[in-house]
Amino acid sequence: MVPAACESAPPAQPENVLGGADLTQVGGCGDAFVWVTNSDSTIALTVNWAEAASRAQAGGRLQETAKLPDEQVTVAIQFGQHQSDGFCTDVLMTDHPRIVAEAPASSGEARSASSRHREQSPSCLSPPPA
Amino acid sequence: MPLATAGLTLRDLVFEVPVEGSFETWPIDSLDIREVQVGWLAG
Repeated sequence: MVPAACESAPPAQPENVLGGADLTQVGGCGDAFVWVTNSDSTIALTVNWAEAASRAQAGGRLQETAKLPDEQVTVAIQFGQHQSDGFCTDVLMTDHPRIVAEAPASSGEARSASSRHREQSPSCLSPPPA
Repeated sequence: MPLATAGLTLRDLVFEVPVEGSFETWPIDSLDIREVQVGWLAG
């Protein structure tokens, strides 16, 4: 006998819903801009949190929640190609990113848990710019 | 260049995405962005 839980299919996910597992490339720069893209770099999610890094440095950490839209916090989604190549660099060494459409988040919330740099082994850190 | 660790959690995000002349709602229920190393100038 098959347990009832095994007979039912998992709930269908709408095609237009992303989750953290879909966005596998991540990076950041500035004060503070963070980006994530899916594996083929056609969908990007960007977060620009004004002065998040410097405030975290000054206060040791930054734990705040912003209800969107917010003047200090911008969250946007972009559709295009080669998007990860265009973030946080002014030297494009590969295919040029192309943004087809972009939209800011019209509602939702963003929570920051930024903190001052913690001591980590060198292998955990990105190499400094040349 | 010093580094900060930026941990971000995004919840209940809704985007109004332009699609062929109209707009489509694009929800993202929850997304955690953790351990992103963000650099800034020490000044």
